[in-house]
Amino acid sequence: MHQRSQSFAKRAVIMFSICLAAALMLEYWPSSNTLPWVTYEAALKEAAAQGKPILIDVYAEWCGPCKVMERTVFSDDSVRWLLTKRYVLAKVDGDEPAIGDSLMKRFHVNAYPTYIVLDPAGKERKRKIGSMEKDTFVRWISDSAGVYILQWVSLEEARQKARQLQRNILVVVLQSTEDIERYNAVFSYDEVRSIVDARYLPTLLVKSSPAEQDALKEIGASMNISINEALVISPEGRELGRFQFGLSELYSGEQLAKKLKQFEAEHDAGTANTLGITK
Amino acid sequence: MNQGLTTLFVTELRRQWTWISLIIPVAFAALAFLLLMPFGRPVKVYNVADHLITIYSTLLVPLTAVVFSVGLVSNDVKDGWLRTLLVRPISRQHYLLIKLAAVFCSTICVLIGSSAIALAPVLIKYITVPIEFDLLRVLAVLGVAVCQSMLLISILAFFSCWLPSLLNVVALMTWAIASATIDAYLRFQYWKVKWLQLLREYLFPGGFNDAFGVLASRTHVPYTELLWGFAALCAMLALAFWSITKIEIDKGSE
Repeated sequence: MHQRSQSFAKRAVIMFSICLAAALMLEYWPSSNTLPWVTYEAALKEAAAQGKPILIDVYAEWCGPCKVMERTVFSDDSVRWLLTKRYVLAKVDGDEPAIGDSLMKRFHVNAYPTYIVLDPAGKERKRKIGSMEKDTFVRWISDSAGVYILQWVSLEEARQKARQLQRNILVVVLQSTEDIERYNAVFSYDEVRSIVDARYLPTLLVKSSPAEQDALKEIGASMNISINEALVISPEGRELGRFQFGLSELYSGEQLAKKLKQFEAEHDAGTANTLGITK
Repeated sequence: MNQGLTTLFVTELRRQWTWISLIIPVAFAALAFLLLMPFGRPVKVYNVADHLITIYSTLLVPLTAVVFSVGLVSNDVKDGWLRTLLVRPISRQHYLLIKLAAVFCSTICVLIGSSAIALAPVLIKYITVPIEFDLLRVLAVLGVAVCQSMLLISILAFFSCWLPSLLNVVALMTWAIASATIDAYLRFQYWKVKWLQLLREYLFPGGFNDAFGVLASRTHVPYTELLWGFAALCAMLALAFWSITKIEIDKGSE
C-alpha cells in the first residue's frame, strides 16, 4: 500500500508532463491563418488603388496576447469576412530589424499587439493596444469606415476653407486615437452634428501623435489644452475661446449640444460687447 | 481497505458539513444573485451560460475553494486528527487523496447549489427578455468551474502542508496579487524583453481562467487553455502529494 500511495505524486508528475507537452505543442504550433496579410509597403499601394483603409497588426513571435488574438479573434469566420472585405491587411513583425524597427519608431508602437487603422492615404486614424474579445474587436473595426469625426478635414485644409468661407474652426483634441469611438458617439448626435456642420469647420488633432504635435504648437494648444476640451479659432487663426465637455459614458450628445449653444450665445454676446452693441 | 477509505471519506464530509456550514451556499447564492441581475445593463437576450461564467470566475469558485480549504492539512495536524488516522492502515497520501476528494465534492455541491438558488428567482421573476439556455455550454462552464476550483484547492493543500492555519489562503492571495503586479510591471516596463514577456505567461496558473474567457467569446473549444490548466493542476497535486510525505506530524506544522 505504501508503494501504491507513493506513486500518487509520480502519477501526477507523469500527467503533468503529458499535459505540458500537449499544451506547448498546441500553443506554438504554426496557425493555419489564411488572412491575406501583406507587407506595409504593399498595403499602402493596395489601399491607394482600392481606396480601402489599412489595418496594421504589429506583433512579435514571442508575444502571448498576439497568439491569443490569432486563436480567438482572427480565426473567427465573421471577423475574417469583415477584415478581408473592408481592409487591406498588413502584418508587421516588430522584431524584424530591417522594416519592423523603423515602422515601430514611425508609429510609436510601445506594446504588442498594436492594431493601427490607416486611411487609404496612409494617415493614422485610430489604434488599439493589447488583446481583446472578438465582440470588442468587431465593433472597433466596423467603425472605421464612415466614422463621422474621421471625415473631418485636416487642420491645414480647415484653415484654407475657413478663410474662404469666413467660418470658425472647431479643433477637437484627442488624447490618443483610442478615444475616437467615444468622441464619435457624442459628436454623431444629430443636434451636435447639425450645429458643427452648419457653423464650424471641424478638425481633429491627436495629442499623442508626434506628427500632430507641431500643429498643436502652431495653434498654441500643445501645452495647456486639457482632455475633453475644444478650441474655437477664427478664420484668421486667433483663438476665440475654449469649452469643455464630458466624455464619460453618461455624457450624451444632448449635453454637448447645450454646451455648444451656450458657447455660441456667450461668444455672440462677447463680440457684441466688444463692438459696443447691446442685445 | 476500501471500506476504510469510504468511512474516512464520509467522516471528512461530516466534518466539513456542520449546521453552520449550511449557511455557505445560501450566503454565496445571495451574492451571486446580485451579480446575475442585469442591473442597469439592458440586454436583448439573457444568456445563462454567460452569466454563469461571470459568477463562477469572479465569485463562487475562488470563495468556495478558499472556504473549504482553510488550513486543509495543517488544522488536521494541529488538532491531532492526522496522527489519529495514521495509526490505522491509512497512508499519508491516501489521507490527502480522500481529503481532497471530500473537499472537491463539497465544492461541486456548493457551486451547483449556489448558482441554482441564485439563478432560479432571476429567471422566474426578474427577466423579461428571452432566455437563452444552451445546455452544452452551461455544462462546459460548470466543468471549467469545477476544474478551476480543483486547481485552487490543490494549491491550498500544498501550502497547507507547510503553513499553519489560514496562512495557506494568505499565501495563495499573495501569490495571485504579486503575480498580477509583476505581470503589469513587466508588460509596461520590459515589453521588448522577450524572455520576460514569456515569463509573464507562467507567473500564475491561469489556464482554466483563460478557458472561461474563450467560452465567453464562443470562438472555439479551449483545448490549449484546458491543457495548460490540467498541467498546472497535476503539478500542484504532485507537489501536495510530495509535501504530505515530508511534513513532520508529531511537531505539527505550527
